[in-house]
Order: sequence, then structure tokens, then C-alpha cells
Amino acid sequence: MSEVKNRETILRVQGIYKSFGPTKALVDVSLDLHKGEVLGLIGENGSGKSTLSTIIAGIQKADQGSMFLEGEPYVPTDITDAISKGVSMVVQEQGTLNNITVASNIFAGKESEFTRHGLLDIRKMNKAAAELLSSIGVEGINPAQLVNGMSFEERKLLEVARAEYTNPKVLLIDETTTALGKEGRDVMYRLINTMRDSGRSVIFISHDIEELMAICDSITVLRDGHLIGTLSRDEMNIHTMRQMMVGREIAENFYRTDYDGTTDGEVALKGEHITFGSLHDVGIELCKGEILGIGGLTDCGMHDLGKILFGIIIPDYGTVTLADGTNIKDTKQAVKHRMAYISKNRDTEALMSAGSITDNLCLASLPQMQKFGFVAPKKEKEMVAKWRETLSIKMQNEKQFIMYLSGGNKQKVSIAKWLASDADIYIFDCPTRGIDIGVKSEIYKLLTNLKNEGKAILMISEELPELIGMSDRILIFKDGTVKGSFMRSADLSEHDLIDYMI
Amino acid sequence: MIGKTLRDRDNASSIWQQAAPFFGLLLVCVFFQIGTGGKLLSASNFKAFSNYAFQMVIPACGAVFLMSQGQLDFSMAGNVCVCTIIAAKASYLNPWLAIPAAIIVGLTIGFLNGSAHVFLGVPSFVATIATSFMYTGLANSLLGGGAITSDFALKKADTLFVKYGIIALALLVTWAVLSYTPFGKHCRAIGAKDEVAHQSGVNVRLEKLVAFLICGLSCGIMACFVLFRTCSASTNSGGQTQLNAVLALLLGGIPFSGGWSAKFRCVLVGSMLMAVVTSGLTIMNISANMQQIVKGVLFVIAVAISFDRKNTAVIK
Amino acid sequence: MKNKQLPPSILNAGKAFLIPIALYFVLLLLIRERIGNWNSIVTMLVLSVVPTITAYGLSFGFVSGIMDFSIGSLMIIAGVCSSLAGHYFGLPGMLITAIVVAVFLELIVGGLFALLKIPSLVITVGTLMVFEIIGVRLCVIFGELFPQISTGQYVKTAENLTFLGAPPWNFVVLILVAIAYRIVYYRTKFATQARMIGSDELIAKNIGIKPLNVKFATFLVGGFFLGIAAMVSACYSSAVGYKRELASLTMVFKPMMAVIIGMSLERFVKMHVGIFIGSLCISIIFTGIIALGWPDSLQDIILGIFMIVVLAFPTIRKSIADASRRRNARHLFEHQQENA
Repeated sequence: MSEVKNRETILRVQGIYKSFGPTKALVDVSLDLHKGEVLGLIGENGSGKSTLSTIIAGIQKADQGSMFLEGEPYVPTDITDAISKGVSMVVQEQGTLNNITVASNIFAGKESEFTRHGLLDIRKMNKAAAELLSSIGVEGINPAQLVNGMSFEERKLLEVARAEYTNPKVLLIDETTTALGKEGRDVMYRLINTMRDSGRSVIFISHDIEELMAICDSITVLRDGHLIGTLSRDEMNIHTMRQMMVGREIAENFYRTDYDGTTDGEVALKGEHITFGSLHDVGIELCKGEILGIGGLTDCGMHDLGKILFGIIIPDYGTVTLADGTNIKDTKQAVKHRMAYISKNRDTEALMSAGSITDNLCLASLPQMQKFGFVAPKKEKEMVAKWRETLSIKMQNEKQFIMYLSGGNKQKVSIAKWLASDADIYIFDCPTRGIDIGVKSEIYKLLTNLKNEGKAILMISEELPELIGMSDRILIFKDGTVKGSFMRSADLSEHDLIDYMI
Repeated sequence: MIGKTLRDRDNASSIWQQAAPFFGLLLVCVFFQIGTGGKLLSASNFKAFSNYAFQMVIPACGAVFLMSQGQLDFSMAGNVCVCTIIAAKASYLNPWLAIPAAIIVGLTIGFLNGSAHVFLGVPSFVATIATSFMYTGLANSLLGGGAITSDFALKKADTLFVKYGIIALALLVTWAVLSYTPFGKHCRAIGAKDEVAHQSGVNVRLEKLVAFLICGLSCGIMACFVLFRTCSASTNSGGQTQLNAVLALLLGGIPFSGGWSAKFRCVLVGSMLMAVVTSGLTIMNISANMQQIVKGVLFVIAVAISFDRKNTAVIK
Repeated sequence: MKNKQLPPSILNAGKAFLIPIALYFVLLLLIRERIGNWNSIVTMLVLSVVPTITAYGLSFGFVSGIMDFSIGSLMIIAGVCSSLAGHYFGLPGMLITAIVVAVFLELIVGGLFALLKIPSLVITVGTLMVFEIIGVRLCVIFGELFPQISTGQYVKTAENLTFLGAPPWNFVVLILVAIAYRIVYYRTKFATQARMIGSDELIAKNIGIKPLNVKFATFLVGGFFLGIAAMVSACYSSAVGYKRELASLTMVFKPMMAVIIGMSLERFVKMHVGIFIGSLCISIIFTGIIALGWPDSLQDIILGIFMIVVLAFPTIRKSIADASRRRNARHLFEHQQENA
């Protein structure tokens, strides 16, 4: 297998830079993919692996850098263009369409190949679909059926068939195997081997280190947008890879400086037997003056948990209670009882993009600001000015629409909204996502202050350093239950946590 | 108000989009003043104008809360019709009973409309089209064909004082509530992004219901107006209420999907615009048919100018 | 990977047809004398023809997410013009005029939609208002120019052509149109793409489909079927009259309901049958109402309620699913408590 490096290069990626506002998703990433090579891409959330693969697949464009396919410059204008040039991708999210048949989904966009006299030859499509599916080892799916009743796994395999049909030179598979059961994975592995044997290449993204080690010829590790290194078969080693994934310099005093994770133990918020979606019988207690960190992979259920605790989602079973015994059932009640919640989806759930800074900032505090039923504009102005000063929010004026602010400043407005409402219990979901270092540290200082004032803070985050740096206690979720619980300590490291997440 | 608009410029829509309603108002005033040979803004028109103004202002005030949430009520005409009929019947017991009767029926119908949307999850415009059929049917069965008259004592209330008084009151209350109360702000937040409002502690479902109730209330008031003027009720009593309301607000600059750009000036400028247009067209003897064409075209133009295409991913 | 979908065989068709048949028998129980005869059944079938063809035309836009409220006013214009043509050019003249006029009008509506890029609700209500008046003017003009054909309020259909509106010929037309519809809906690239856009427009865009082009096409293709529907309707009613003040909106909703019912039956039968079943159900209900002696006004009320119920289906279904999920979770836990 070590001869792979000596083979011809099929895809060369050079000096790729990509930023989303202040967030640097990819920094000077260069990579060579050889013919018949299966390259694994691994990295934490936010390491840039999805960004890199979507750029290669033509879904988005890099800010800087170039790509070469079989020696020729490769600049895909969109997905269809990339596919026609031989680069196909199976994405992480849902990629099949409801109310359409299996065959139509597989050949979506390629209907012209089955058209005769302007009409689709359904029988031909179905037959071709059946052949295609069995050629990749998928049995038992009727090409004429609608996709609606099928499982996520089956639908994902259709996407694999769709990609395979385009006869790609380079196939990118993004986190797909996490959704597949054993049969599905076997199909995937078989396909990967077929591609390798026929001299074509695969870029395989996964969180599962063992899986990657089993099928890949080499593995590239990304961290914070940088390519840390590529390991060949001989060099592959779980410990080394974990080291590369998480080893990083953390500036002094970036997070909290104390290592005392104790609190006075007064419970502010309690969730019991919470069951919803992937969450099953989850119990959780948040104390005053505590920063409780919740970590895990994106689908582990922790984001839903945050919403359930605030009353946005009503769980199938279980209760959320405050110290005074109130049952939280909706958001109005939660806010009335001095709770706060900031969603990880900043632009779609936490802030109104088409709304001014004033309107956003005052929204949760209006009942408190009113006098005889009216809210004086002067009071709103004072409110905004106060928090602008306190949090150093960069804005042109208070009437400016949120959409023109940078990510960090948007988040400051979001936080100011809840500080203004004088909340006691804060639930933050990914509070520093997509924010540059400077603002990040300001937010961490803010959180520390809140903790010292005796507020209760629940911090859900996909960034391990943040959890370790800021939390008094960390709960790691996987598949809907708590798999690990850690107390704050100077010796706590990401390696300790990552085992429980994956 | 113009000055304030210019100062508010730092937001999503361009200055042209925001200034358009004012220009429009100026334009139609000039156009119709010339077209009617000066009759439009004359003293003799003052009385007739009050009717047009009323017909535009009250429904616009009622509908603005709904529209700023991004909803539509297509059943206002049917609502007014039913209210008028029931109020007319109530007037036989006691002439002035008509007023509370109209208001209560208006509120009830508003609640029905709201329930279809809030509890049954039907999009508001289709739901209210469906309910408008119901109200038309109801009106027909209540009338049993033809028209009925109410107690003629009600004619006494058909005075300029009453009409302009109610107009002024409605405008004042709408201005205050829409611009400065938490409810008014919540409505616009719901239009901007209802999930954000929800996550900020706003009871979205309740406030949507309330907006429908307000709309129903305005229909009840319109019904009183119809009775005061004509002392009769027929299937035509509803007229073009919802069309007037929606068109007035759109021409006044309200975004089709609501949100923070829905301001009080939309109500004021828009309803004045519509009143001038309708009054002018009538004085110029333009047929009802032609008026319908004009309204249809205005509807499309108004939305085409103000629609936020940048922030909408999918256009349906 | 089990095959959960039943093949759309006769068995499924039978299941789907069970609905209108059941409806009929319910009514039979209530008002035996009035509708328990062959005449009534034929009436119900006849009443379903025009809404079904209209629904075919509406369906292309509907599945891609567009609401076309202008079809009523559009069909009136097409009906008026084709009636006139029928007097002078016979059946072929009537058919061709109806289709050409309908497609031309939809070209305008679709063109405005693609050009202005604003919600279809706005475009179609705006054009509906203009079209209604065009319909009025046409009736009046024809009344002046062709007094023997038109009274100025409506246009009479040529007597030798009205046979198309009655059985068996209206059924023949329906079957022919249904076959054409089936081919277009299931075997053209355009219709498949329309359904993809309706399912998830963003994913469809990523596959390379151009939503605006496809949506524009749905207006045109729809127009073809709407023209035919207008013609059959003119033959059935022997005349076409105008509507104004948004009254033509009432013509939109029976077909819309039929499309929605057709879409929810798609697991059992294909759309051309499903839409017919939906239309049939509506006809049965309304024939029943008339037979019961209920006044016309009640029809409107029932139509409104029916519409809301059908549109509320997804919400009701979700509520039931949520409730049963919660019940299951509760049972699970209480069971656990007992065993603990």
C-alpha cells in the first residue's frame, strides 16, 4: 500500500483559504490525492473537513488557492459542473427528495439520458436503477416506489448509487457511515474497494478513527482549518491521530484562571426523565453560580436538551422544574422566571436579521421596560447605549440592522438582550461559534463574571477546549444519554473527553 | 414623519422603497386634483371623502397588526357582511344594540379565523379564503335572499363628527399600540422571524390570535359604519374591505411578509392614498370595473416594489 | 431493507375508491329516497368531470409550491371565447380556441411571476382581478356584436356542441384527458422536476434544476388542461357568464381540494385517478347537500369547512403522532417504575 504515494496524482489542492466573516475555516491547505487512493479526512467539529470537501465538490468556492484535476486546472462552477468533470460527493445531510420514486432520485438531473421522443422511459429508468443498486450490493429496493417510507439509511444508499452512476474519478463521502447500519456500511466499503481497484479515488470523512484506519490508505488530520499532517498506513496510530486532532496552544488567561469547580450547590434548574428524539431518560441539575458544560457530537441530542430546558420543545416525557417548583412548559413562562436562551443558530433563531439592534436587544425585556403599557423610545435608546458601552459592541447606530454586524458583535447583542432582561439562568448553545479570538475572550470574561454573581449557566458546546476551559462540571452526551461526567481540574484534557463522545 | 423616515434609512430597504409611498400620495393627489377638475380637495367633497377615508382607515388599522406578523385576512368583507346583518336584526330590539352586536360578532369571527390558523395550522390566507366562503354562506342564509333594513334611528349617527372622530381615534390608538407597546413590537418581531420571537419569550400563538381579534373588531366597527350610513344590510355590505385594507397597507409601504418595516406611517399614508384614489376615481365617474382593474394592478406593483427578494430563499 | 411500498395495483385502487363509495353509502343511509337511484349516481359522476380536469391543470403548479388563484377568471375568458368560436368553427374551433386562449393567459401570469419574482399569491390575485373585468368586457362586447349568441351577460354555447358536456361524451373527454395527464405528469422531465422543486427546492437547486424555469412551465402546461376544462364546462352549462369582485375565487377551491386529496392518495393510486376520487368525494357531498334540501348558502359553508379540514390534515396528523409518542413514552416509564 505504500506504493500509493508513488502513483500518479489525480487531484491536487494547493493553498486553499476560506473564511466566513472572521472565522477562518481553512488556512493554506494543500493536499495531493493519488489514483486508486482512499484518503481519510479527520478532525473535530470546525476543523474544516466539510468545508474542504464541499469546495472540492463544487458546492462552494474557496477564497484563495487552486485545484488541479489530472493535471488540468479544476475550477467547478457548481455541483453539476463538478459532477460532469468527474467529482461527486455524498453529503452529510438529507439529499433525497420526497414524493419522488427511487429511480427518479437516483437519476435526478440526468433524466435526458432516459428520454425518448420527449417522454421518460420509466421502465428503462427502473431497470437501470435496479441494475445500479445491485451492482453496488444493495438488494431489495423497488425502483418504482416512492422514497417517502424509506429509512434514512436506505435513502443515503440511493445517494451513493446516484454518485456512483456519475462514474466519478474522485468520490467524496462525508460522514455518511455514521447514519448507516452494518449492511449499509458493507455496501460503502465494497464500493470504496471497487473504486480503489479500478484506479479511482475516494476522500472519506468520518469521526470513527478505527473505521478510517481499517479502510484508508492514508489519513489527513485537520485542526482549526490547518492541515496538521498526513499519515500513511504504516504511520497510522490512534494515539498519534488524537494528538494531532486536539493538541493545540491555548493562550494564558483565555479561559477562567481558577480551577475551583465547586459551587454552593443550590439547584436552580432541574430536568428529570427527559425523553425526546435521541434523548432518553436524561436527568440534569444546574446549580447557582455554576457553569455546567455539555459536550458531544452534533447529533447527540444536547441541542434539543437546551431547547427543552427553556420550554421551546415539549419533551415526550419528563419535566423541567425551577427551584421554586415551577414547571417550565413554554418560553414566555421561562422568560418570566428569569431564564435566558441563546440558540446556536444565530441568524435564524437567536436574532432577527431584518431587525434593528434596538429591536433585537430590547425584545426580551419589553414587559419590564413598559410603563402604563407603553415602552418609551428613550428607554430603549438608553438600554442600547448602556450595553453598547458595557460590552463594547461595534455598531454605527442603534437603528442599524443586525445583518450588517459581524458575528462577534451579533453575539454581543444576543447576550446583551438577556443581560438586559436581568436573567438568573442562562442557557447558551455554542456561544462562541464563528467568532474571532478577541471577542471570544470578552465573552468568556463575561461568563466568568456572571458565574461569580451567582447566576446559573448551562453551556452547550461543540468545542472541547471551551468546555474544559470554562466549565465547573462537564457532561458528555452520546446517542441521547450522559456517557461521562467530569469535574473541573487543571489536568483535564480533551483526550479524556473525546473517548466518551465518539 | 418624512424626516424620521429619512433618518431611519440604515436598514434593509433602499431609500426609494421607503420614500415611494409618500411620493405616491403626492402623485395621486396631484393627478386626481387635476383629473377631477379640482373637485377632489374641495370643501364639497369633504363629506363624501369622510366615507372613503373611513372605509380605508378602519380596515387598515385592523389589518396592520396581522400584516405586520406576515399574515393575511381575506375574509374581512364576509366578516363585515355578517356583522351588518346581525347588527341590523339586533337593532329591532333596541337601535343602539346594533353597536355591541356588531362588535361581538366581529370579534367572534376574528377568533374563528385565528383558530383555523393557530390551532389547525392552516396558512392564514387560505384559511381566511375558506372562512370567507363560510361567512358568505352564513350571510346568505341569514338574509334568506334580498336585503334587510335596520332601525332608522341609526341614521342619526351618520355624522361627520362621528366619522372623523372614529377615524382619528383609530389612528391614534393604532399609532400608539403598533409603535410603542410590547404587543405592537411583538407583532413585528413575529413577522421578522417568528422563531426568534418565540425564543425571546413571546407567546406567538396567543399574539397571532389577538391580531385576528383586532381585525375582527375593525370589521365590527365597519359594520356599524355601514348601518349608520345605509340602515340596511345585504350580501354586498362587506364590499371590498379586505382588498382595501391590504392594498392600503401595501401602498403605504408595508412589506408583504411583515416585519420591522411595518410602521404606522404605512397605515396613514396608505389609507389616505387609497381614499384619494377611490374618491378621485368615483368623482371622475370611472366604472367599478375599471376600479377593479386599477386595484389589481396596484396590488401587484405595490408588492413588486417592496418585496424583499434578497432575504427570501424560495419564492412561491 | 424491506420493501414497504405496495405496488399500485388494482388492490390499492380498490382501497382508494373505497372512500367515495363509503361516502355514498353514508349518504344513502341518510336520504335513501332522493339519492338511492341511478340518476343521482350519474349526477355525482358528471359533476366531477370539470373539477377533475381543472385540477389536472392546477396540479403542476401546486406540486411545485405555487398557488394559482386566477384560474377561475381565466377559464371564464377561455370559455367565452371558445363558445363564440364554436358557433362559427364548430368543435375543432371551440377546442383550439379554448386551449390557445388559456395557454396565452397563463403565459402572461407565468411571465409576470418569473419576471417580478414575487409570491404567486400576489401575482395570481392581481391578474385575477384584471381577468375578471376582461371577462365582463368580452361578454358585453359579444352581446353587442353577436346578439343572437350573447346577452351581454353571458355567452351561449352552440347547441350542437353541448353534447360534450353530458354523458357519455363528457366521460370520453375525461378519459382521454386523464390518459394525457398521466403521461405528462409521470413521464416528462418537466413534471418530475416540478415535483422535486416542491419537495425541497434547495436540494433540487443543488442537483442543477432551475426552479424559475420549471415554475413558468407549470403555468403553461396547466393552461392546456384549463382550456379543455373551460370548454367542457361551457358545454355542460350551455353558457358562460362573467364573475366579478373576486367571485371567481370560488372556482379555484374544488379543484384545489381534489389535488390535495389526490396527493395524499398517491401511495395507493396515481394522481390522475386520485384527483378524480377527490373530485368525486366533493361532488357526492354536494349532491347530498342539495338532495337534503339544504339551501345553496349552506353549500358555501360546507365548502369552507371542508377546505379547512383538508388543509388541516397535516397538523392533525402531527398532533396525533405527537400524542401517541408521548403516550408510549409515558407507558414505558410507568412500566419501568413498576418493575424498578
